[in-house]
Amino acid sequence: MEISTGQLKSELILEELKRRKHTKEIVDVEEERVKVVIFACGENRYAFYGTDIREILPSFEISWVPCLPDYLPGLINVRGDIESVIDIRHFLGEEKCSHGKPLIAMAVRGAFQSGILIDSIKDVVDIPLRTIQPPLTTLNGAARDLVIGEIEYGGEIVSLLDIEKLAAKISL
Amino acid sequence: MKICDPAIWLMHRLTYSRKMLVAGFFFCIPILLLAYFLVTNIREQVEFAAKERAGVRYVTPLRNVLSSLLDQRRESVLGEKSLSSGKVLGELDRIDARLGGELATGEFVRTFKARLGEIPNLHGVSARKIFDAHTAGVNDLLDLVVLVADNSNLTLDPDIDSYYLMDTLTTKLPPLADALARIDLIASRLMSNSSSVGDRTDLIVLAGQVRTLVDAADKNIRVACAKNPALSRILQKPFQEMDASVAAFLKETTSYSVAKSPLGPLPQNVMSKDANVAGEAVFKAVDIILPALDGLLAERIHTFRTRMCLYMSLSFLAFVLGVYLNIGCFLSVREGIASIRDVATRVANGDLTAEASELSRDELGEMALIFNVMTENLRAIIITLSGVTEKVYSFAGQLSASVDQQAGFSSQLSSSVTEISTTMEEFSSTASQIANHSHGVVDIAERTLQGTKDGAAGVETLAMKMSDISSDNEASLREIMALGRKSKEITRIMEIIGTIANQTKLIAFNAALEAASAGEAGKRFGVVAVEIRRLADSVVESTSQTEGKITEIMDAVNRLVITSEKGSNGIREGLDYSGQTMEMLCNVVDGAAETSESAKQISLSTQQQQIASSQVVFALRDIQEGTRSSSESIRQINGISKELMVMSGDLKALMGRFSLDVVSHI
Amino acid sequence: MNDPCGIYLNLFLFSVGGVHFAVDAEQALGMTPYAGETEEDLFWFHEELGFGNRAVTYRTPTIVTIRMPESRPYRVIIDSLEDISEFSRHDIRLFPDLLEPRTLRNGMWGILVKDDRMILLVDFKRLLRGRTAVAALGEVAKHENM
Repeated sequence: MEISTGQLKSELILEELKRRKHTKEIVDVEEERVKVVIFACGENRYAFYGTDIREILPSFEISWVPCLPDYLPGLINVRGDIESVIDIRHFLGEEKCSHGKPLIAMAVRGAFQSGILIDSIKDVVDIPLRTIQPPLTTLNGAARDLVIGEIEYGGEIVSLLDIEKLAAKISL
Repeated sequence: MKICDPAIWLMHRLTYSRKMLVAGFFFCIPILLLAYFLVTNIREQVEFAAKERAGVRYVTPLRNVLSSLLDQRRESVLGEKSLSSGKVLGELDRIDARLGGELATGEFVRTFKARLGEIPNLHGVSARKIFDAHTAGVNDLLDLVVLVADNSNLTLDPDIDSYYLMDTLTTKLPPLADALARIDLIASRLMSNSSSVGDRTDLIVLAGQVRTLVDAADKNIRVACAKNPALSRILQKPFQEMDASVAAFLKETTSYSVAKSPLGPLPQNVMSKDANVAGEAVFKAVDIILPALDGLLAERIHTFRTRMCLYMSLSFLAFVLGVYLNIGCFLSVREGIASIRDVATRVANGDLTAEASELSRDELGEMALIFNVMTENLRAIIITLSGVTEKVYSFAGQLSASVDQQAGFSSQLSSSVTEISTTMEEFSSTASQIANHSHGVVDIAERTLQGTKDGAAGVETLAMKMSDISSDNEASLREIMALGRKSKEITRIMEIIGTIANQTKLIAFNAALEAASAGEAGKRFGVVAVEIRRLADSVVESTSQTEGKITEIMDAVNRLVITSEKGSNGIREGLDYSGQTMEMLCNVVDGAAETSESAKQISLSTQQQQIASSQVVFALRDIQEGTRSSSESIRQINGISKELMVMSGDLKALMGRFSLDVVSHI
Repeated sequence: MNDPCGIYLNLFLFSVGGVHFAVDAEQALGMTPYAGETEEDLFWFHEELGFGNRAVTYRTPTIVTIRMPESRPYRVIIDSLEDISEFSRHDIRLFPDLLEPRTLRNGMWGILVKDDRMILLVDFKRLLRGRTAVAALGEVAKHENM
């Protein structure tokens, strides 16, 4: 940067910074942000809307219930409450990942409430709404039904999944 | 037989044809001679018979002469007119002219004729004298007849029938006729009473003679007829008549003679008639006998001639047949000989396929057979020999080849032996080197011994020091392990911290979610959640760092432990090794002693080796000698085998001279 | 639902295939050990419920005779009886809404948590009702097809 006469370098820098901040604030004010929970399932990263996830639980012992489909591994006891568990891997076409213990994300959307088995939590972040891209058409069939958007996080494309769609798929 | 040798010698010098000719010739001669003699014999017999016939023919006129002469005498005595005897004499002359020479009657006939000629000249003599003259003539005639019979071989007639006929004819009937005539004369004299005493005696005598003659004649005739029955037909009747008439006449005259007194004059005609009848009967008998005899003789001659012809023809046939067969024999033999000779010649020239024809069954045929067998055998032999020769030839070739090989081997052996010799010399020198070195080894062994002892002392010191190190090492090890354990505890604590951190992170996430749902009020709570999250992250990070450090420490500890253990192990091993080294040093000491000993042994052995190697060198020289002589032998063998090859080649050529059957020739 | 007045339920506790179940004691008429017989009205519990691909081994199979008001008693083979005890009604939890339709149809109507274990409450009548209904449906279908 050329040093212009009469202004101190520090003044220039200061101006730049203020400009940025302002822009950022505008951006910050203007942008609507939404919380997403980024998790890993199998080899890929997926995300849920934060509003859909009530809490994230460490691995619980899942009690198997007979006469349930494969994607419902059973029940968990969360602080006295009995919750179902969905194995989302079945819907995403992912293989079982056996690094450490899986976590259970409690998903709540309207009448639908269930735990969802995930491998690990990567992050819980706010992202601008505009950064959610529409889903790629080249996704494999299983995931495509659930994906409602694409987010970029940590250099990867993360598929944003819709709980509602998941709920629709599971109807007993 | 020795006797035959000259004959054999002669025969050997002749060819077969000549032999046959000679033999045949000498066989023909006797045959011819025999034939000749046979013919001559028969001819003699024929001539004999012919002469007899001549005699018989001569007798015919003599009979007439006798008859005439008797008549003449009677007539002369009785004073009757005598007939001329000229005709009969003429006959006699004729006959004599013809046969007189043959029968040698010329002289006698002349005498007889002379005597007869005198008779007519007798005139005026007594009747007695006339009677005697005539009787002399008659006797001459009778003698002539006998002479003729003698000279014409009639008296030698071989056949009984003709002999007795002849005898009757010549010696019985004529005298009988004469006797009858004389009896007649005497009887007539008696009748006329002009008889003398002697007449009666003469009569009796003559009668006796007549009877004798008649009996003899009858006996002769009987014998002849017995011999030849055909004669009886002819002769029986006349002789019976004769007998009868003569008997009658005799009876008459006899009765007259015995009469004491004169009986009275008989009619002279009757007596004469009877005398005539008797005489005629006699002459009839003679006439019968003559042709009969002649017939017999003629028959005999005919028989002889026939026989001779038969004999001649038979002998001729036999001769011809004999000649024919002989020729056949000659030819057959000659053929046989020629065949064998041909075949022999061919075989001699080498053609072994020649076969003699085995036509004849005699010894020549056998010879041909044997010859063929011989040829066959010879052929077989030659074939075998050919084969063998071939083999010999090839073997000789092989032998030659192998001998050449042998020669090669021999020279190789020679060179190998030389090499070995050289090697042995080297060996010898090497052995002495070894001997020298072994002395050096002894020195070294002793020095080793000393060094070893020093080494042993050093090792002991080393061992002590090592055990010190060992115990120090163990102490360090224990401390390090304690350190390790402590590190593990730290790790455990770290894990707990990590877990707490993770849980904290989770809580932070949940807090964030709660904050989100809490809306505006939750924003600051959200910030707090973020802070908590950050804290948790930093804890996790530092935990991980600490973990890292702990891990490093643990690694280092492990490494130390390992090293320590290694060191421990190493020390233990070192102790072991030092122990082993001690052992080894002891072994070395022993070894050195052994080495010393062995070196001495080596020295000894080396000396022995030297001896052995020089022996070997000698042996090798012997081998070389042997090889040289072997080479020599091989050369000889080679020469011989080559000669053998040549010889077998000659033999082969020799075999080739023989031509055998195509099939059987190898 | 049995007798709604009482607070406490008497429940038989058993497990089949590692899953713990409980049944109202009133439902059971009796229990006899299973001796290997096969009869038409004898059912294996895991087959009735539908264990899927899981391999189930019965250590001590026992036949439980269930009282059925409308039809003849129903016999089912369960694994060993573990416990009989009283439980407070208030301890019963519902199945999550997501699962309830399915579980109810299969006779599972509630969950008890005991000693960190989940015990599934089974109502045999409900189970059989569902079954007979299915069977009846099946028969009706068969009739219609014929």
